[in-house]
Amino acid sequence: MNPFARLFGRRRRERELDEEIAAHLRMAGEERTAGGASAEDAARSAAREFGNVGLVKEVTREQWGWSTLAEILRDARYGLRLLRRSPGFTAVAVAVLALGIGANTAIFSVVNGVLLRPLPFPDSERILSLRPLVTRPVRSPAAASYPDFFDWRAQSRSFTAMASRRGVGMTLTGVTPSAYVRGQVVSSEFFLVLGVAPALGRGFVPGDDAPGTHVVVLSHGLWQSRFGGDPGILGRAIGLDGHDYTVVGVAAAGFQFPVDEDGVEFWMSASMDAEGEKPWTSNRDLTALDVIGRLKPGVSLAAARAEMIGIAKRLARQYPDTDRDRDEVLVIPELDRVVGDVRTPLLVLLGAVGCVLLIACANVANLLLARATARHRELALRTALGAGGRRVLRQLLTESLILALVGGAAGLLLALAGQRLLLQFSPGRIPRLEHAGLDPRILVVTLGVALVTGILFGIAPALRLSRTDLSQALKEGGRGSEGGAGHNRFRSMLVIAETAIAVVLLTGAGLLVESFRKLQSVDPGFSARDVATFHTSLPEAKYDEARQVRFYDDLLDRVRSREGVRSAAAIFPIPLGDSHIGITFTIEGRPVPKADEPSAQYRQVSPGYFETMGIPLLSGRDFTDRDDTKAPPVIIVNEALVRTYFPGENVLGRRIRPGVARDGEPKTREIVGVVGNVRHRGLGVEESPEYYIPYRQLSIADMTVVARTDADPRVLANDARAIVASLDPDVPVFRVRTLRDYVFASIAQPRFNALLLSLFAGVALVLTGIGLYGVLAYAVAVRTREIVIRMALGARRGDILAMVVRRGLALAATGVVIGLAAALLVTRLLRALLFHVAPSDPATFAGAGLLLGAVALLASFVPAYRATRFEPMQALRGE
Amino acid sequence: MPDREPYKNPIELLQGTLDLLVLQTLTWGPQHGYGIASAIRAGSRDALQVDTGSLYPALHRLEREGAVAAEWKVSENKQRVRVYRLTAAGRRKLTLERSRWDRLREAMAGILDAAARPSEA
Repeated sequence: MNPFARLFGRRRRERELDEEIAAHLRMAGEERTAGGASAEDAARSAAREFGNVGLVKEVTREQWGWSTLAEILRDARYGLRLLRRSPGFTAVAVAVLALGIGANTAIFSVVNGVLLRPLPFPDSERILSLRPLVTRPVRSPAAASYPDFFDWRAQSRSFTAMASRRGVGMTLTGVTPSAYVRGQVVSSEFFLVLGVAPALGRGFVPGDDAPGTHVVVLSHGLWQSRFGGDPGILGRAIGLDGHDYTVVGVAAAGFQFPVDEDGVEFWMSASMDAEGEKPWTSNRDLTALDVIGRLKPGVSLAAARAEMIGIAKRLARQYPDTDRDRDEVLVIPELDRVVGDVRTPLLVLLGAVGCVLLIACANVANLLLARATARHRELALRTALGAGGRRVLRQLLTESLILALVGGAAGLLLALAGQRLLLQFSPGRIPRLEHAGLDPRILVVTLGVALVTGILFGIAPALRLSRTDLSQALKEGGRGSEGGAGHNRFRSMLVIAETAIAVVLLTGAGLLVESFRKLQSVDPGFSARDVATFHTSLPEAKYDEARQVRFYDDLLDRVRSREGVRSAAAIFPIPLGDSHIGITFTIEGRPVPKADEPSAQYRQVSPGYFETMGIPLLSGRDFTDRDDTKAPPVIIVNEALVRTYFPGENVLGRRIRPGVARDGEPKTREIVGVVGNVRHRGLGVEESPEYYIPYRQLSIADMTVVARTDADPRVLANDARAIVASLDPDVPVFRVRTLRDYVFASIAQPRFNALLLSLFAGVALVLTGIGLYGVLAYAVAVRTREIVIRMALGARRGDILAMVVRRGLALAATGVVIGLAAALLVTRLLRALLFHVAPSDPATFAGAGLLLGAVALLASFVPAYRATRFEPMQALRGE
Repeated sequence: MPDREPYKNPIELLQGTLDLLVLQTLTWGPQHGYGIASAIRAGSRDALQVDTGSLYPALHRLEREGAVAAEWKVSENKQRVRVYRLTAAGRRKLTLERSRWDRLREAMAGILDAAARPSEA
């Protein structure tokens, strides 16, 4: 018989049992009426004699033998009924569980979407990222040069294909309005490595990398938004920076590479890098490439890594001037490269929510134990009527599982809401965060977490209860004072565990908050207040060097003439803007081998930049309008450069030669000023040597305008487009932000981590407080008689208060000590996330302990106070 | 045959005894639950009150074991009642339970008599 038919069979039998018992009661009643009793008395007496009808039915049903399914359903129905009967308990337990499970689901959905989900390409785990590894003075991955890439590609045997790529920003011309679009310059094997072809047209072929072949593949989004999804686009030419590029393909909707960069709108062949007098493709000095490769089937990652390192060592010997220090290759899965920076913080958060869930479990277990006392009698009765220990155990576990599942369902809803919040508050630098949604894996994990949770918090109370000593329980009449001692010991252990976990979370959160506070108070070297910024990019075909200079001159004049603008200037690249250009230089009078040339960060600025940004001019002078191509080449350096290369010397008048030039040989430049250091890479990153070159002597098509305003800098932001359009409607304006936005974005990730971890620690703290309160309130209730007698014997209220509070604090103190010890081990994992705070920071540890102590005091005080209010007579009578 | 049944628990003893009483009652003819309870009470001159919380589980267990069979009938006062009757297996069980009971009674009596003897001496 299938389970369903058996279920229907049961229905009938249940009806029959109802009828059988009804007949029994009727006959018993009739006999009594026959004996002269009134109908009412007879019915009442018959019912009394019969006893608890529900219980009799239940025990009778148990004799039938059960199908597993029916049994589970019956246990579930009974459990549900029980939970409905105590709505307060159920609500609290479900809320606590929903919080714990919901937080876990939300964070796991992020971990799943960001870390676990494979890249959206066939056999994506075979797509590797290859980056030169500079091994001196510190090991750090770097970009590759074209000649290095060509050698890698030619000499390696581990890959079916290898491709280079680099980011590029261009102005889409020939359509109105013109727009700045970001793209990638890729070598012809690009689509081969990814294993996908464009949805429309073709990918690149080897010939596409030859000079003069200008071909481009558009993103689905660009094709739709700017070309109306025209299928006739293939073979047509579009304008990029004023040059014609033939569209050979349109990528599938959703195609994105690299996946950690949003808004890549086109992929063009590397032909443009092979053009010009000194093409990039033959310059081993110029490192700008990321390389990807598709691992051959049957070749291991380790083998590929070994082969690449061998090649790099050979190249380092062959080309010591450029490659001496880059003698290894970092070969990792592309996915690891994409998520490398966020892996640790996400796993830390996952660990933290896991802890919150553990605390939630402990709390619900505590609630169950407290309630168990009240159920002693019921369970004893069931056992007396023949329900075996295992039977009771299963019933109790079913109840916990129901609680957990209801909590899990509520948690799932909570997670959906939480996820939205998470996305809103996320730093925007977590790659692939848009994939953090609900998928079957999340549902399965949530269900699994709920079930494990249910067993976790249910098993201990259930085991205790199902072993209840019958006669003892019946004698105690449900008060459970004797069995309660054991219970209470167990509950105390739970509370100690909760406290310990909460302390670990508090410590971790405290460290991150302290670290964030330190980070936030770092002086960036400039004043971010009231500075508006916007970025423009001039199409190179239309703007030669002279016209670039004239454009920015005019633009800055117009910005300065706006009301409310105090000063304005231009720079590239802007601090905290994620663009970094390192360029080697030589110092006049100190010849060194080429490989030993020092390197410094390069900036290009207009006169007035330092004043506008509030960067102090420490000595010498600022650039002026006269520092142009006709004047002697000049340069301004930062303090760090002086400290590193000219310690204790007067650098004004010294001459250095950065290896940068527009045409011809780089020029030797005289140092005319020294300015303060600026944290260009991030508030937490130490300043490095930098130099500034006047834009009139070395112009560039891309500049960011910065303007200090009297009031809210957003006012200018609104005008920026109009101002630029009045000069040239073809010039796109983008990244319209305040300088403070840049600062904020640069610390968004640590802020996010600190915020979330604090949130979790807060929840943990509250739950622990509730747990402690529960245990003490229970202990006080059980000891009512003792307390009353003490008071009768002369104990003062203060003594009673102290007695209870002391017990609460003793529990908390044990937990705190264990927690601090555990934190000492755990917080080491946070080291990578901390800034200027030691993982064992004594102040933070002390703070976490004290905070928990305060909460424990509060949680103990309430039941303690209540204990002092017992009315002796009432309490004794209540026994 | 040594008695391996664990008659340690007073409740189990009660259950075993109840089985015996129910089966014995049914030898006089098919009967419904209320009738069985009444018969036992009457037969023991009100000394034995059958707990319904034990009777119905016992009846249903005996039915599952095949010792009794049940069917719905209409009683003399026109009520639908579930009537139990003894099966062949039930008769065998009755014989077995009965001999077990006799042995228990003898054993009990032996001990109780032995306990009584010294006071006579």
